[in-house]
Amino acid sequence: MFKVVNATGGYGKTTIIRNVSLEVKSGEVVALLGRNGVGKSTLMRFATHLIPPMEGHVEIDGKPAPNSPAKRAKSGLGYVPQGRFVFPRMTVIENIAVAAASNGHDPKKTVDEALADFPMLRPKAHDLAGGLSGGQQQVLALARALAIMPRILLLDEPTEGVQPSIIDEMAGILKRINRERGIAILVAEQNLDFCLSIAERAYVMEKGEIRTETDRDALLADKKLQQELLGV
Amino acid sequence: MSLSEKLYKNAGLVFPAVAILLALAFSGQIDPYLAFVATSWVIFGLLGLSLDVVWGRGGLLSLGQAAFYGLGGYFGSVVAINLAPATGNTLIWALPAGAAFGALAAAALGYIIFFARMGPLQSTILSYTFTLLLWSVTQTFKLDVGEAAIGGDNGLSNIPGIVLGVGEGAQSLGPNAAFAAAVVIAALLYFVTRWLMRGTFGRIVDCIRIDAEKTELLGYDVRKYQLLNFAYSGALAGLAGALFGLWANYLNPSIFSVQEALLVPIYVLVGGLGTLSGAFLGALAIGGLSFFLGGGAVGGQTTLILGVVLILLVLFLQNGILGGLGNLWRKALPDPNEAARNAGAVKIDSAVLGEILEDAAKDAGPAKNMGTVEAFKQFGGVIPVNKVTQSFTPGKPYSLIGPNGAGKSSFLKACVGMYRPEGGTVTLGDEDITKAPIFDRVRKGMGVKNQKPQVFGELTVADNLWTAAFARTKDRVKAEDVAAKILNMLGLEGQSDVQASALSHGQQQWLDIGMVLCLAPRVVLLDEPAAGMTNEETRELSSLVRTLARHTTVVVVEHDMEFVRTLEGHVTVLHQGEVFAEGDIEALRADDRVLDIYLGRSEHV
Repeated sequence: MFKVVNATGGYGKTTIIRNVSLEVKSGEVVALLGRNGVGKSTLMRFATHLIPPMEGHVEIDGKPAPNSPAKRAKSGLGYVPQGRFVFPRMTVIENIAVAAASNGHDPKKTVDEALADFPMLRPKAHDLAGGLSGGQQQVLALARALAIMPRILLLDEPTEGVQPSIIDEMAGILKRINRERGIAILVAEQNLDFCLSIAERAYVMEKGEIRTETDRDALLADKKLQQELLGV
Repeated sequence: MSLSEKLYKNAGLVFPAVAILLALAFSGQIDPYLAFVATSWVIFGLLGLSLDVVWGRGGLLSLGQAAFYGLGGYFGSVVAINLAPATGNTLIWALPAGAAFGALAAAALGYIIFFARMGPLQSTILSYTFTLLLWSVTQTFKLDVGEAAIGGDNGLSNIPGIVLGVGEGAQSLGPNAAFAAAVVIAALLYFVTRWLMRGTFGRIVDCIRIDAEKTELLGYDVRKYQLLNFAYSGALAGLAGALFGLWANYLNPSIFSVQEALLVPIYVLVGGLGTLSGAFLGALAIGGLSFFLGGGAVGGQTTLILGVVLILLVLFLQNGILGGLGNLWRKALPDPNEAARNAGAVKIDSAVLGEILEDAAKDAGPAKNMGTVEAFKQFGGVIPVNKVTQSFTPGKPYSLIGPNGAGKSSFLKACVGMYRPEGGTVTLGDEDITKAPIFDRVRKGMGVKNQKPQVFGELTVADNLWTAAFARTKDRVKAEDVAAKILNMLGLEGQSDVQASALSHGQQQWLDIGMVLCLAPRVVLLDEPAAGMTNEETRELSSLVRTLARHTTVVVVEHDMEFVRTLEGHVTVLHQGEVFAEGDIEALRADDRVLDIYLGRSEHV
C-alpha cells in the first residue's frame, strides 16, 4: 500500500540517497536499518516530501502521493521525525488536538484516545511541550503522529532518549495499533532489539542505497550481516 | 583546485579590488555632480558595512547604526571645525574623532544589551529607540563648542570640506578628487573589516550568531565578543558619519530620522547579508537607481518605483544580489559536502586519547572533583532538581539514570550554569562555582555535551573542532594540531571540509563529543551521548568514556542500559528531582522499585 520508487534525493546539490525502492504492504511492520549516515532519515524526508525528489516518486494505495507534506499527511502518512519537533509553545493536548483537527478529525475524541494510549502524558497534559523532558517529547511526537489517523506511520529513531520501560511500552502500543487499527509502520532504528520485536521484515541500507532485504529470522541468524552493515 | 574555485574563495578580495580600481580610474572623468552624489553612496555603503558586521555576522539587527553615524558625524565635525584650521587636513581630525565617539556610544548601548542578555527583538527595539531618542533630543539641543555652533533643528553648519593638504592655505578637494578620497577610505576600512572577520575574531562572532549557547559552552566570553563587535561597528558608523559631515558641510537632526535608520538594513539586504561588500553594492544600487529616476527618467515616481524594485529584490533574491550570485556560482563548483556520505567508522584509540589527555593535564592541571550540596532548582510548581547532593571524582565513570522527566538533564544544567540553582551549592575542585557564569566554569575545566548535538552547522567539520581547541589553547597552530588528532580519531578526515550541517545525526553527536574532547576538560558531563548510535559506535563510546574517566571526572546521563553496564561505574537513579537509589547496575537491576519506575520488565522487547 506504501511504495517508494527509485528515490534519489538529498540537500542542495548533495545527493544522499540513490535509486532507493521499497514497499510496505498493508498492515505490515517493516524496519529500515543501517549505520549512521547511510541515508535513513533522508529517505524518510523524501517519503514525506520534506525534501524535493531529484528522481523517483512515492505511491500510497497504488496512486502517486501528492506533492506536499501536508497533503501527504491528509492522505494517511504519519511521521515522527528524528529530534521530535513537538510544538514547544503549545501544551501536550494542543499538540495532539492541532494534528487531529488539521486533518479533519474530532480533536477532543482524539486527545482522549491518545491519553488512554499513552498514560504517561496524562499528568503533563496541560504543560507546554517545550518543557517536557526529551523522552516525554518523543512519546508526544508519536501520539501526535497517530492523531492524524495514519494508515502508514514513518518512525525515525523513536526510542532515542526514551527510558527502557517506556521503550518496552512503546513496542507494545505499536504492536497493538498495528494489529487493531491495521496501521502499517516503517521504522528506522539503531535499537535492533526494539526494531525486531515489532518488525517482521527489514531493508538494510548502505551508502545511500538499499543493500539487501531480509526478514527477522534471517537477520537474527546472520551475524556477519549484522556486523558488516549494522555495526551491531 | 580549478580557477573558478580559487576565484570563488577569494571573491571578497578580487572583485572589490577591481571595483575600487575602476572607480579610481574613472573618478577624474565623470561628471562632477555625479561624482559629488556618488561620494554619498560610498559613505552610505560604509554605514551599511557597519550594520553588516553586527547583523550579518553578529546576528543582531541593530537600528542604532544611524545613531552612531549621527553622533560620529556631529562629534567629528565639531572637532574638525575647531582643530582643522591649524593643520589644514580635516580627515585626521574628523575621522578618528567620529570613529572614537561612535565606538563609545555603541559600547555603552551594547553594554546594556549584551550584559542584560536581552533577546534579539528587545535589542533591535532598544537600538531603534536610541536613534529616535537622539532625533528628538537634537531638535532642541543647542551648544557652542569653540567655533562650532550646534543649533538644534537649525543644525550644525560651517563644517570644513575634505581637505588632504597640510598647512593654512590647504584647499578642499573638488568633487571628483573627494570621490576618489572617499573610495580609498572606504576601501581601506573594507579590507581591514574583511581581515578581521576572516580571522579568529570573525570566526567566534560567526559562532555566536549560529549558536551563542554552544559558543559559551566552549569557554568563550560571548558577551565580551558581542560588545567588541558592536563597538567596532559603532566606530565604522561614526567614521562614516564624520566623512558625511565633511562631504555635506552641514548636519541637522534628520540624520537620526526614521528614514535614515531604516535605509541602512535595506542597503545590506539588497547587497547580500553577511557578505560585507554587499553593503556597498546595495548603497550603489539604491543610490544609483534613485539618481537615475530623480533625473526625471520616469516622471517623478521615484519612491514608488524604488519601493517596487525593493519588494521584487527581497522576493526573488532572498540573499541579496551577492548572495544570489554566490548561490548560482556554487552550483557550478564541486560540492564539498559530497564527502558526507563516505564517512569512516569511529575508532577510539585509547593511546592517542590518553596522550591528548595527559597533554591537557599539563596545561590545565589535574582532574578535578565536582560536587553538589542540596542543589535545588524550581520552575513554578515543578521542581526538577530537589536537594540533590552528589559527589563525583576521577577514576571511574558516573552514570545518572532515571525516568524521562526525572531531572537528569536539569541537574547537569544546574552543574554547568545553564540553570542557576535557587538553593544549595555546586563545587568544582575546591571552588564554589554556584554563581559563576557558564564560560567561567568551562575555563575552570568543565566540558559539556547537551542532549541534542550542538554543532556550528555552517562551519566545516575541521573548523568546528578548531574553534573548540582554540578556546583552550589560544594558539592557532596548537589548536590545529589538537583538532587534527581528534578529527582522526572520529574517522572524519575525509569529511574535514564538509559543513557540519550535512553530517547525519549520529555523526553530529560524535563531532559534538569531539569538540568537548578538544577542550580537554577536567570534568566531563555527557547528556545521552549514545542516542542514535549503532551498537558498534556505542562500544567505542564506552571505551572512550572509560579512558576519559581514568584521566578526568566523567558524568554520563544515559538510557541505554547495556552501555551503562559496560561503563562498570557508579550509577545514581534520579526520580522526581531526587536521588532515588544508588549503587552498581546489577544491584539496581535487582531492585523492584527501580524496575517499576524505570527499567521495566521487558514484556515486549
